[in-house]
Amino acid sequence: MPGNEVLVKVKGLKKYFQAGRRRVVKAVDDVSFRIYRGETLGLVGESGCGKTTCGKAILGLLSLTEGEVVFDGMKVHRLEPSERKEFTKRAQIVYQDPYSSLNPRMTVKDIIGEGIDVHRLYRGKEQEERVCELLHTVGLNREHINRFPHEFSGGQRQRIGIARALAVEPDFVVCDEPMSALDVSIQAQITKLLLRLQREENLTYLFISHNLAMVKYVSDRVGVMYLGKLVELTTSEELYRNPLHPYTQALLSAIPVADPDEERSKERVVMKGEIPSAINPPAGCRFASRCRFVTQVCREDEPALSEVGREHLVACHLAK
Amino acid sequence: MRNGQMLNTKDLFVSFKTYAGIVQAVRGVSFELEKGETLALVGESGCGKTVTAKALMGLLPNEQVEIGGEVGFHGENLLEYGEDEMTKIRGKHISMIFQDPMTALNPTMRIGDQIAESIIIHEQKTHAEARAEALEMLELVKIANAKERMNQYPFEMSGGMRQRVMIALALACNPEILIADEPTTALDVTIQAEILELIMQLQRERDMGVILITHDMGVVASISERIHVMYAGKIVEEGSVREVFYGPKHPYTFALMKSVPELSSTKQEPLYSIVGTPPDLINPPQGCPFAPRCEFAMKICKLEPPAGVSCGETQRSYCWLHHPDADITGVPEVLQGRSEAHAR
Repeated sequence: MPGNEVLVKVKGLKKYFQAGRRRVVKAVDDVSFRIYRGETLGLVGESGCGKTTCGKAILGLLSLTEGEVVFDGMKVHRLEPSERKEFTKRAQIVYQDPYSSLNPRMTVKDIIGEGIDVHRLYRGKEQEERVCELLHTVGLNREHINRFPHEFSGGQRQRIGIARALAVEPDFVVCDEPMSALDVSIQAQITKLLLRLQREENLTYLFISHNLAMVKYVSDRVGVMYLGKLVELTTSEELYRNPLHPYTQALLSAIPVADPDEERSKERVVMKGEIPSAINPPAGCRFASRCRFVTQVCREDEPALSEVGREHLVACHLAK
Repeated sequence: MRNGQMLNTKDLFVSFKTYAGIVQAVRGVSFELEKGETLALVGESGCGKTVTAKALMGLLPNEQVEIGGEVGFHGENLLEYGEDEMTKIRGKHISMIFQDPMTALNPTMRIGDQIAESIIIHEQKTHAEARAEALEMLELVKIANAKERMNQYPFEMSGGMRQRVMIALALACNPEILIADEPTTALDVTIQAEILELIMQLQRERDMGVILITHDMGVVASISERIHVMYAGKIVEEGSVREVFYGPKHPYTFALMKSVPELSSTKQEPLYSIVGTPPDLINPPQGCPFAPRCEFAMKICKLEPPAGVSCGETQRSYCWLHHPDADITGVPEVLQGRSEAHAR
């Protein structure tokens, strides 16, 4: 169960990309949060909101424009070589697309065994045993060990990706849209697998997805991102019961529910227009151009993420 | 029923010849579409829903494909039409919106010209007239600054806007039937809500029949009247949306709906999941296609395909559990109640 020990601390994370002269994409703009050991923190938002960039930056896969990420006392972007090795053993990632994230020229044994080799965890026969054990854990079996990725279905490939991440016995796994390339019936299988592994191995997850229902289901706390900003952060129950940011409200109401009567009678919160570009975003609140409750102050002043209730942070001038 | 039936398919079969063998993608699909209604074809990837749509539109290649059965439209069988005749139907009488608005538009043509093209072909209008109509269409699908957008290329637009352009393109010649193949799958939820709203509104205004293809039960619930659930090339359950959502009778439909987390559900309530993967359609199972994954499967399920059983006013389900002799111990009540009704 999640405790109070902070495993990952993200402080003022900024990641800008240069997109030509005087055009800066502010993919992640001043985001701070903590991830506690043993919990699942979900990050949701629409495409382009910076959630994947955030996940990659936390793992040190991207350099930062500003800010820092501290993983159990280690500054992820200022690691000594020896620390780097320790960090890569303890923090892993499961990618979105199981079709392109596995090397097509490597067998399952090599894919899963690579990390074990690098960290010299097991060798020879022992290593093969370990790979078989991992395959078993994720619901595949030892006959699969010498096969190549193309011989597997999408769901099976995602299982291989998960086994690869688990091979080095990490504490922390970033799951970057692990379900979105899969069919509904397979999604449920993978979700159950991730939850079971979390219980068994005491893992901490950062779960990134655009599917709010899925994020809400697997996460203890959820952060909602919009255009590079964290706009709301709270427990998943509270987010569903009492969403305070107008964007979160709109997002929740946009999700079609599998219930025809409810679906036809519910009132949708309609957002105006489309997501503005993250290139030179507007001053003030980034959501102002689409917000139903917009006031003058929203267009001028950027609201800070502040605590409005117990474990409930919102960045909105109106939520007080 | 049958008040203004627009399109029907009878026992549609589609198979592809591949190096590995003959893939039987669609195996006997029948349905009817009525005027002004939205019919949803639901299923996971590979269940044959897109192939069904492409067969209706005559978009499958002639080589290496075998199509059987009937597609009835205004008393004629569209499957007997040649390419020239189909060209007159496509876009004019039956239109299609494709899943991926990023690749379905021509990247080398301006938006306005793409929409005008079909108007010029089908309605013998001049270029100027067609462009004026194209502009109206863009305004109809609520594209801001439509005049400027007319001269832009697809890459200059966002995904949601491109999907609006696709809708404008599909509806330019006022078709009677619109086939929407996963129209919102590539879009964000907030954009999805707007696009679905737009499709519904245009359907009401024009009294179109819509065939909606999707895997998202939420989307079905929000805009369809009737639903057909497909699995491994067959329809396993059909009925009105209310019948099927509030009383699914086929174990696959039941499982499909239970395996998606709802917003109100928590981690404490375990997700229902279907074991295994869909069958290989080169050697489709001899009995019920869902039998190998079905937790209620009986001996007969693997041997003989089940017949359709009427379970309600318009609901039909293809499952052996509905047979009076079926062993229903341990079967969830929703599914079970119906088998008793059948036995009576």
